[in-house]
Amino acid sequence: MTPLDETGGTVLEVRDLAVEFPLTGSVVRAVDGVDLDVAAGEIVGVVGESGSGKSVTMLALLGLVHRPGRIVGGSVRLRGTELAGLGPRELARLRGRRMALIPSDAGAALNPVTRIGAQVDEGLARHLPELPRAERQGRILDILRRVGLPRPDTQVRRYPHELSGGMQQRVAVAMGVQLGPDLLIADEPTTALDVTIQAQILRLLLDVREESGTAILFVTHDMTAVAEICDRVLVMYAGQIVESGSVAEVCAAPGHPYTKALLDAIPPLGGEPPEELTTIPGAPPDPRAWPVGCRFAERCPLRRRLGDPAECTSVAPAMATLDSRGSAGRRSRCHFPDALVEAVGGLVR
Amino acid sequence: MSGIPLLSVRGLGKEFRERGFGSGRSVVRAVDDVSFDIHQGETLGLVGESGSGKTTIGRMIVRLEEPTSGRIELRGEDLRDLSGRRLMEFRRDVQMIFQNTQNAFNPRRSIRSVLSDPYEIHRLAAGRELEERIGELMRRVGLTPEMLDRYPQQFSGGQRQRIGIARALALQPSLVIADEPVSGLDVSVQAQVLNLFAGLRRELGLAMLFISHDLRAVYFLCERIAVMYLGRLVEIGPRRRLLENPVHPYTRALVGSIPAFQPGGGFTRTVIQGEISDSEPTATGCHFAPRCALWRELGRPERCREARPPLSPAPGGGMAACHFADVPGSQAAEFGDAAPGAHSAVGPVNLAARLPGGSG
Repeated sequence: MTPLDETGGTVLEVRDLAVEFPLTGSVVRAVDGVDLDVAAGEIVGVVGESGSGKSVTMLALLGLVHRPGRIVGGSVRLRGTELAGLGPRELARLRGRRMALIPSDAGAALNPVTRIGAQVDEGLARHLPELPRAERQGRILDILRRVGLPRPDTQVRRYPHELSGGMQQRVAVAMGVQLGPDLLIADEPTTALDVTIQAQILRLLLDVREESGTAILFVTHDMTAVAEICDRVLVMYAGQIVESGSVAEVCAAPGHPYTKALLDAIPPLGGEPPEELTTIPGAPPDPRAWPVGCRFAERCPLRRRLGDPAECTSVAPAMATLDSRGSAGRRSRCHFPDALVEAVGGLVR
Repeated sequence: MSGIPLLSVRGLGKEFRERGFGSGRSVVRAVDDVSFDIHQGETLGLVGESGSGKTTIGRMIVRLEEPTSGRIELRGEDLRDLSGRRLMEFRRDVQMIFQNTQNAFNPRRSIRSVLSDPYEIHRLAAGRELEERIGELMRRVGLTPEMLDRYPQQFSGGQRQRIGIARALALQPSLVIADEPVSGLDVSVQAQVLNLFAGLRRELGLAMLFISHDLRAVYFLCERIAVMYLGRLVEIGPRRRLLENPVHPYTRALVGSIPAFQPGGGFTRTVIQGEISDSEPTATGCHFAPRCALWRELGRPERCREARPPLSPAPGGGMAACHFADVPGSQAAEFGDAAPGAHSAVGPVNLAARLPGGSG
């Protein structure tokens, strides 16, 4: 075991990750130069719309990008171990034990013809084959109890369809955390659930972090969920991270027009509702041919307000530190982040 | 509002028999004695968790399901009496928009053919006039007539939902039943579709039953909100009153479970323990009692288990079905500590803190 301080508490370190999918006559670079770090006990939100590359990034971390898609560059280090050159078997040994996935639709991810107990046992049997069967049974009941599944001794004999969506999702969380992974990747774990059940599952993720110090990457398109459980947030657009920083700072004063647009689109609750919600005009660019300059330029309200500066469409903005405000690690991929603050005047809502 | 409501639902009930053979199959009461009105041009939001019966109500109104009991009246006319030509007219007047846009369209038919159906079935337009009207329809929902020859799978989810709306609008209905029309859409696309609905209401004076589990979307669009729990209507009222002063303990828990959007403020939501399926649907008593914080706080009164609470007027407008709606101090009741030790109890529903100031 690597001692904690040897890597400064950093669980995951990703540099310049790129993933491509070849199509007939073209190539889609779905993930294009993603950097990210997650520290032990930290919950990092990854937000972005469908097609922004957030799920493909997560699959790449897990070594689950399948052909013809492939990782074409970059480095992924889990607790200091480089995963880039590892073969399928070595990766399989890490998955479940060192890093685990909680899928978005547990109902679809669970095997419909296998009882709950046997499914939870698969991970244990694979990674801890030396454990006697009876002891594994005890651990299964224990983990199911910990995720708040009522009457686990009855539930283990049930099939997935006999459980509600919320209960299925609890089973998926149990399978994700049972081996105490360093990194948990939760890919839209609550999207399909009612708000009351969503609250229960997010509370559960907070408890998991509290109890075992697990680092969690929380992928979602819901900024309100990010705001309540994440420490930091990464905003993805068109295959790139366009903004990163602490949740409080990013939400209070977004450093990228896309982040601001995402926040503005949330329907307000309470008071007299507005006549219209703020929307983002247009659609994301074609991934087969990313624009030369800023990928958000075409839809960007800030660019229009600034009178269409030439660099927006001719120079690709780099991810740059926002010196003027916030703590370290506040970064944005925009040529005019300060103009955004002036335009917004601080708080979003 | 005065006059005959556009839609009037009275004592509506629907029972489903469990699948299987023999007489031992139990009966599930999906909708249990539900009553409400929708007036001309009004939008009513119907909220509740999966399994609360809200979709079944929508399906009964468009006659995709037959009610087991109760009445549905459109402009004072009982739907059950309709047949032949009157039924055709009803079908023009009441339209439905579905949640799952993947399955709502035949993948082998172009959008032109999908949108021509209503006009052809009702013999309203043909030839060049038909062409003009479906072109106009496409523009109305923010698409272009050039897209008419594409197939459903060539559109994004948001665009397909626009086509669903276009199909529903083709016959100029006075009432639209929209069943979770924005769930599953990205936030920015959701905002576009909600704006489209808001615009259509303003410009066409459309009345709508907007079924959703997303209180933010419902709050934006609907001037009144009805809350369902396990087949029953537990509260109905004007949106601001319902959100800012919810009366029924379930409404209060539901409102409290929406993330407050206070970045950096931590986890502020109420967590209601248990699930809707933990509640036993009984003919007597309140369905929510087993999960109700107020019930526990009051020492589990027998009345909640024995008598069904009737809908009675709530302070500030609307109605709520709780025996103890007016218990002093219940406003400060804490929710979420149903299973001691399972999770830390969270604070009271603090609406002042939850609500962003002003009109957003």
